[in-house]
Amino acid sequence: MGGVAERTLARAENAVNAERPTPNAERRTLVFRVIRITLRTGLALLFLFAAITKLIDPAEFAQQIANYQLLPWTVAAILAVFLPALEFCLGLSLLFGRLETGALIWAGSLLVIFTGALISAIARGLSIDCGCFGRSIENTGTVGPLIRNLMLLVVTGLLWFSRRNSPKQTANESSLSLLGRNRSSGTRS
Amino acid sequence: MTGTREVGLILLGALLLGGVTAAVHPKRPSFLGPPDEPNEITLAQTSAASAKILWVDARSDAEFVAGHIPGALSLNFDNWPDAFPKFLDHYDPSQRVIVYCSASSCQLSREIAEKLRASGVTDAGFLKGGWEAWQKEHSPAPRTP
Repeated sequence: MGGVAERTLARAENAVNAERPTPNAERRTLVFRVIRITLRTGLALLFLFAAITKLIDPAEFAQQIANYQLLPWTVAAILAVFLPALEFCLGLSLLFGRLETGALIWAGSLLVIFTGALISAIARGLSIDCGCFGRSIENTGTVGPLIRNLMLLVVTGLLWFSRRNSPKQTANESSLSLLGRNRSSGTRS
Repeated sequence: MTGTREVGLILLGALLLGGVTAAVHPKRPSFLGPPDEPNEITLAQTSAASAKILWVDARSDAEFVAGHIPGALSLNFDNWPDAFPKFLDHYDPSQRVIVYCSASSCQLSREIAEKLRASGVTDAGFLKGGWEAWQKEHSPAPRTP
């Protein structure tokens, strides 16, 4: 039993050495992580800022939603308290890197909905303030926010796909966990 | 599965925070209907008013060109930098300024009236029902054969 454990241990150690990344690959990974964290933090701060500015005066935000002339007042009033709360929660999730998949799904969904509302307002020729940041930034119109939303959708997409493409465990981590398992089994035998 | 769980957890957090906001926030919206506005003026009130009225159209430039209350000036968030100086040229403090937008659901007239008051036009109100109400009141009577 001891011989089998030693052979497995040696095989795992070889795998670790073979899969150890080169310095260039490590640098690329580090740059990728820095860019990704920067984008995620930026998106998080934007959602948090949007949430806080709306939560300061939900009654005003309800009127800004009503300006789009898409929803009855009661629905606008409910959304005026719910949407900033949702933006706040997903902003916190993105900032701390927790529940990231859920936060990105919500961020993407909200941005698609907001973009649809802006396109609808532009198509109907409504001259309204977008209401994206409560009353903290006035007179933003609809075209500027539409372009900003499309850019944010691209950022959300990048974060989503980079998250899905990056393996949860690197090859080294897998090998090390294998090594750990074998060592413990070796000790038992 | 993880994604669904995370979406649900964030939704739960949002519902809790939204619920607290709806219950205790001093500036929470009225859920039954839009709040009463002291600066809201009905068409009947404009007809009875003794002061001369300066109409301000808060709709988009395209809507203004398509049709507006006679004598109205176009003033909205997009054209404000150019249109506000023109408005001041026409404005006489003895006039009552009434802003209108497309319909009752439109809050733009309220916002422009508020911005005008903040800019020193203290007597700025807004028309209940907006352009839609004006058209109903002033549409030609149907012709009888």
